[in-house]
Amino acid sequence: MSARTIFNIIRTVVILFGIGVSALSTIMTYDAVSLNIGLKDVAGSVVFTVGLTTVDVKATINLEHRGILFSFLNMNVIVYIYSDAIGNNSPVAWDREIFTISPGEQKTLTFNFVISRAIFNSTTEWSIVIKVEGIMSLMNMNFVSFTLNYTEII
Amino acid sequence: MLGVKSGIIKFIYIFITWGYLPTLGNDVARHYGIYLLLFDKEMIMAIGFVLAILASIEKTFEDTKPAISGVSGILRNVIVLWYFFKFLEMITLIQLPALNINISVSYNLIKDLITASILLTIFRHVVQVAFSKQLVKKPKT
Repeated sequence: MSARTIFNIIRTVVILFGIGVSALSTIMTYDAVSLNIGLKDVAGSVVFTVGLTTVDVKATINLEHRGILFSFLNMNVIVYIYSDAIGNNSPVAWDREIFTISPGEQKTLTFNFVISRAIFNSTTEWSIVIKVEGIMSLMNMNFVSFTLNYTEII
Repeated sequence: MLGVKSGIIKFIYIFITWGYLPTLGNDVARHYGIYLLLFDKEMIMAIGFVLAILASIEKTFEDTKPAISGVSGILRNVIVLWYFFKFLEMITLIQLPALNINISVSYNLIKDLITASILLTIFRHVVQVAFSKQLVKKPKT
């Protein structure tokens, strides 16, 4: 086998590997932007049910994965509620959901909180902070992991 | 003569994709209030220009002087590797103040795959330099 043939084989392998990696990263980028998390909705969907001594708070998030290949594995969504009466150092209440979402799937997450009536009465401004931690995976291999923080004041 | 023509085409292609298009992306990002780039516009254009020069040398001498082409290819891919790590550093923490969103990203397997792809390309050029005498294409009579 001549040097030219061996070199051509190496070149072909390198080119094919490069094309494969480029295709994977392109699909990954597409999948990343195809995860539609209704973060705006959660602030709008917060429902306060006032009781005698406590206030029940319910919030929902809708998720839709319109991607084609990568799954979002062990997604950990934590919703914190802060009150201006208490300050932004410690949340008044928090709840979390852990789930996995594959391409083409839709999910609705419901978060339930209980806040004392006294805090509810003295609060003029609520801050909702949503933290999303997740892994983009293909065949259980961790390609990218990320943490997202979203803050909304209502 | 054919090598020179291919070299010029390669120069134009690499300068557009590595020197010009990233600056457009920068402008679009800034329009939306996203400040991503570690480098300014002139620096991106300069890196694109250097990469385009090296790529054109690589293409021009591919068949006639494989050693020169190989060394140029190694230099180009070393710059690409450095640029890739700078780019990763840049997009590890993304802030979208207008949307109140902060994203921090850790690139795991995809980073390893892209690095492996660039290192394989460098290896290919090392082979090209090592066997340069045998790889010279003889002109057809």
